[in-house]
Amino acid sequence: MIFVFRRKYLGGVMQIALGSLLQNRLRSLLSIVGIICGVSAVFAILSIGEGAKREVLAGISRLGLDNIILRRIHLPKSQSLSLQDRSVGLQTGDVRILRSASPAVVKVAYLKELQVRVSGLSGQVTPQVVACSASYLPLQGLALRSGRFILEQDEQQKNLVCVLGETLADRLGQQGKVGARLRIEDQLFVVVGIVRGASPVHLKKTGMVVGREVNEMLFLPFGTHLYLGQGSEKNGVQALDEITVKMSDQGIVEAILPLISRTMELSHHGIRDYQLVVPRQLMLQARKTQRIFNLVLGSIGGISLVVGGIGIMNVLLATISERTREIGIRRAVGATRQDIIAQFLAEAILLTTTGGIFGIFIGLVCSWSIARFAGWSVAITPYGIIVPLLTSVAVGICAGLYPAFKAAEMDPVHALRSA
Amino acid sequence: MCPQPVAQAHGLTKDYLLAQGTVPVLRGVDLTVYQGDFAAIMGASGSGKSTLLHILGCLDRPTSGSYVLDGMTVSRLPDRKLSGLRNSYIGFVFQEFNLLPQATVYENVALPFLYAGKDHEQVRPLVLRAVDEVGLTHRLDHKPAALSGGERQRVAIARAIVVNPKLILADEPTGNLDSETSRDILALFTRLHERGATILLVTHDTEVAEFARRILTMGDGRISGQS
Repeated sequence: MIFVFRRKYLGGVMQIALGSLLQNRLRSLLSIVGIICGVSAVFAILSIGEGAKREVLAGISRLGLDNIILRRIHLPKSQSLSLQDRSVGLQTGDVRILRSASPAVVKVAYLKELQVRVSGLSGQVTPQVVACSASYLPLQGLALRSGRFILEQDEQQKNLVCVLGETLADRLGQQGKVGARLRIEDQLFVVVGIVRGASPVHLKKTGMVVGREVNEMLFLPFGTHLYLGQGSEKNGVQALDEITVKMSDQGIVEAILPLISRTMELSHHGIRDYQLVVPRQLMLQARKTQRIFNLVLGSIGGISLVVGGIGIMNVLLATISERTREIGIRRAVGATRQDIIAQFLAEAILLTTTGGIFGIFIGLVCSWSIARFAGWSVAITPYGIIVPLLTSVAVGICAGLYPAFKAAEMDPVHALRSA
Repeated sequence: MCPQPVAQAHGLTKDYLLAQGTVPVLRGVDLTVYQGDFAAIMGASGSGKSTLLHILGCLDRPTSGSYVLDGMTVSRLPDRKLSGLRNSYIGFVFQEFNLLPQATVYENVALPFLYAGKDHEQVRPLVLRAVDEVGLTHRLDHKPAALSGGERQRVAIARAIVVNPKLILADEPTGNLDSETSRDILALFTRLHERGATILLVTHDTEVAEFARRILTMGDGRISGQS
């Protein structure tokens, strides 16, 4: 069946549809409640889902999509004692091996987490202190607020200098300024720089990001931790907690990963006392998970839309019974079956689109409330508005088709004779 | 000059299929309505006069026989074509007025133009002229509920004449009106006829039929007499 809608004809049909719906305002309003609920649910789900996705992806991106991260696994004591002659966990020897593993490896950074006491801080503040290589700053994409980061010569000469995270520096007050001296255990370190990490406040909320709270960290040159009684050096080898391997391009991460994995396996004699974290794979996985999340929750919202559509169909069927004579009148003055279909479809679409617009508005309020009071991250996208709105129009078409065809199939004589 | 036939029916039959069996309503009607004619079909209830009117108005199809409207054989035309004919060739006036309750007088009279796809600028003068013809210009924005029975029937007549149809079909147009209002409405039909309209009305009332120029009598599904 071909519908040829002239602009003025369409305007006339919409005007009639609007007039008919306004005749029964309360009924029309009640009939779209289901659509309002469905659209607002789908809108809120898409907004929350998108917000969570952006947050997770931003967190993962901060780890560096061209990086492969190796983290130490703390084996049970009984197990680690029996295996220590074969592998002692991540250590500086691995750094040397990884540097020469492939030409695609452009830089390697490493760090050791320290359990030390920092003077000048209240008991509530416990900074994460790490001894790291000079290459840590560029690999983590950190920016300097003032001063400088740890240099290679600090590492080589074991200079007693330190770099503070922005929040930590602010909490330390005068001691947190570049040039100030900071007592760590029984050593005095000179503050040489302050670093600023990417918006950590948002990252914390999901609890899903494997990154560090950079702004509350305290960085020391690798090696100086030996002065603090942390760790020991055996045969020129020191234990590490994390190694970050930077590739020349994120596109080759997957290709290099088996090589890195095999190299480490050989180096550690097959003992898995480290964990391989690949941000790029994490991101792909997170995207996939998010898609499933959106699909499942969107489907639940979609059920409301279907129920709403059935409600609309029910109301339209009742309306058609009441308006049989009107259908007869219209047919008598020249309305074709297609005209009758167009009119009832227009009413259904008008109802569901109005429901959709109300639903989007309520969804906006819900999303804003969730962001405001629950602290969740919410992102409103054009896609998040268009999809539920188009869905509501589609529901209108589906719900209106059967009643519209039923109305169009009426015999005009019979329709005119109805009470 | 001989008047041209507007509607010609030959051997029209109409059977209704009911659970109890086939009920013949029209049993071979032969009828010609000429341009400028004002004819009345009279008959008892159940004689088939309304069924005949519905077939002549392209609202229904005959079971057999032929029907030619303004030179076109319409009895086997598809639904879409019949709708087009009802829109521009036929004007209906019903006993029950059959106005849209939610629409104003103007909107009711303009209704056929919605399906003719005419512009608002073209439609407005035609509607105003038709409403003026029936003397309801002052009621243009009123809804049917605010009108008397006679006024509602005038609106229905305005809607029937607005497209300047070839044939005006009226089914018991005074059936729901008091005698004084009935006379007014019949006088309006007479005036329209004098201005050239072709009118065929169906009634069981002799006084109403007497307003017409010729009277056809129906009985047992056939035209049984003419005067």
